[in-house]
Amino acid sequence: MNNKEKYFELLSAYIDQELSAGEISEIEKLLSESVELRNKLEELKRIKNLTGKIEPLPESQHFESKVMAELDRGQSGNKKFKRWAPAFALGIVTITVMIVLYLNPNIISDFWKEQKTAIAGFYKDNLQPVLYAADLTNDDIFNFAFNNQLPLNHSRDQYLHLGYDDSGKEYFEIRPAIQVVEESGYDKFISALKLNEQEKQLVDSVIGSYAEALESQVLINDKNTLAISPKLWNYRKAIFSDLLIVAENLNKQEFVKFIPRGVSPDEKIKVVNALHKLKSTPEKQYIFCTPDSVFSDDYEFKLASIEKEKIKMDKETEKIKRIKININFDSSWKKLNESSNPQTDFRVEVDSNICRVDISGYNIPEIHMPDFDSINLFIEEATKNIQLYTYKIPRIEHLKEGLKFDYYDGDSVHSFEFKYEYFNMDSVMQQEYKIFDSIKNNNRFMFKWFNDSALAKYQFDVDYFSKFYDRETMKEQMIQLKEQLRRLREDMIIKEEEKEKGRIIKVK
Amino acid sequence: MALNNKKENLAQPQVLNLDDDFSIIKKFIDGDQSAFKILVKRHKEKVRNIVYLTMSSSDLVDDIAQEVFITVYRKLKNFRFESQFTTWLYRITVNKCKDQLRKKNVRKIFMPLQEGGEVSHFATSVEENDLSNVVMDAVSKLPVKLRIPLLLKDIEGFSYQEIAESLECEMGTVKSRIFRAREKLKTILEPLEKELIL
Repeated sequence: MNNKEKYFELLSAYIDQELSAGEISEIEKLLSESVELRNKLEELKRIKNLTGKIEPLPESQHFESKVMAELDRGQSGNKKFKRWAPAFALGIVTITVMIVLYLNPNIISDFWKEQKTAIAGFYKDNLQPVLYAADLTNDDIFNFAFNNQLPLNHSRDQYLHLGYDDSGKEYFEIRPAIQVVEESGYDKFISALKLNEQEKQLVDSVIGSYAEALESQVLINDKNTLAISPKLWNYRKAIFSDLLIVAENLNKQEFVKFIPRGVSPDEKIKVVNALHKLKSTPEKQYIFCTPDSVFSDDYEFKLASIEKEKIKMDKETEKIKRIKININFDSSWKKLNESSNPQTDFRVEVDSNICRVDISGYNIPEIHMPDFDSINLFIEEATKNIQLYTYKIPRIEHLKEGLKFDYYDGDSVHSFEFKYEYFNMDSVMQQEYKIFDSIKNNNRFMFKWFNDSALAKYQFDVDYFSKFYDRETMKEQMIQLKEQLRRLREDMIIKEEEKEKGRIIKVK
Repeated sequence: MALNNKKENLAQPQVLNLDDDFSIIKKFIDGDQSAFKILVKRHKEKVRNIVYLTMSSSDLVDDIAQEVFITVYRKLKNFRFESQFTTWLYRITVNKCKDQLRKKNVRKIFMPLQEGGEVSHFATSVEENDLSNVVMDAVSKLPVKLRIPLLLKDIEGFSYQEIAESLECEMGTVKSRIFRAREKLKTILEPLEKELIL
């Protein structure tokens, strides 16, 4: 600190009257000699004067009473406790929960079981046979057997679609009518078999015999619950097989176009046994599709067989007809997918059009039909052939050296092959267009494309499509073709060059 | 005579008035709880003002002042009568304020920055606020270690000795800090020089 600053500091203390007598006389002497010091003194006085202008706080009248009250309440000690109270509380709750869980390890699962039972009870209330109210026709049942879909109400604006995913596990979908294949498959089937009216009536009676059994397979109530019997998948196989057996009996000559090898007596016995078991076993378990969750649970439903009860049923039917499954196709359903019940593992996918439930974690009870698995291959083969025959989709076989096409025209099967070495761009493209025309003209592929759908892949029925035609393979082939054309062009250029040189070229 | 001189040199026993701080504290120590209320009533305004001036805000004045007296209440039984009660009381007050300011600064670090940064409360002209507020704003811009001794001197009228005891520092330090505070305050108030007629 230089002298000047030291004197300034003394001046500051001087105006505060904090100097000793000696210091005062010294500074006053200096002040009388220096204008700068006098100016500084004035400046410091002004500052002191300004700080003195700060107004004190207004008096607090009851401050002491508040302090005393606080002391009386013992708040001084409690304040710290208050601050840490939430942490203490959390700690105590955590410890309590841990102790409770340690002593009762099953408490959470028991609680959920109770909740589940309560919820299940709510949704199982007053379930009614929707297919009874929907007045199933023979067309509906045939469509179920061959196209896996059943109407979900009388007005037929909602359908239940059954299916199998790539791994062969079952799934079901609730679809609006607009997303459903519309075709008169039954008529095509009858005409393909060249059955007369009498024979058709026989098929009608066979189909009709399943109407009653199917009625208890799908139930609904006014709580927006759809209950599906897991036996429905087996019923579809059974009806399908039964119809094939009937078809073979009625016109074997035409039937071999479906299944060239026919149905063996052993397979017939298995189908008959399976049908008997299916019909004689009551439904004891259902898959419940509700606005909150999808779950399976025990539930017994006996369809009224006595006429009196049927009359009662008819009154109920009018109510059922008015019920429409209003699955909320909104984002909340997507949560179901994430929070699927790990025990049953129903996987739900929903968009604005379709609700799809994969039941990959749930086992369809096959126990009542132990032999039925063995005829699955037969069913698969028949399905493929019938579709091929009925819908006249060309079958394409991918060979190393090219493509082989089989297509049907009336009673004839035409086949021809493309060999890659003879490919030219025009013929390939022409064939592409033909294939697509045939696909487009077929109702099976008349689908509506979703704007928002994550389910478009299912709607397109990619499994079916890929059986006949593989776009990726075709793309690869086109790339190969381009490469061949490029080589050809190079060869042509070489030939021209050789010609110019006067050489004779042998063309292969 | 020599004996008398000796007697004069000895520390004379302090004659206590019945209502001075020490007497009241003694009453409190002896179990008279109401004595504490008298102490609070007597010193509350000084304490509240020190808090107000130190914190440069009236927001938490009563809360902090209350904490001061609660601390005093808890420690008063151990009071050793070696210094003025007020010195001890103001030391507690200043320390409470410092604690609070420290917490405030820590909070500032973790608080997201407001758009446009921290808004200055400093008035842009004297018309906007009265003189008291303008000066208070300017004082609030001083560092705490300069602000407290200046305010204790200029507003509370403490002596340098009292300030040194309250702040637990040397008198020379107090003198120096008060001078530096005035110099800095002058710089802060310079933009308003004309209005303030510095």
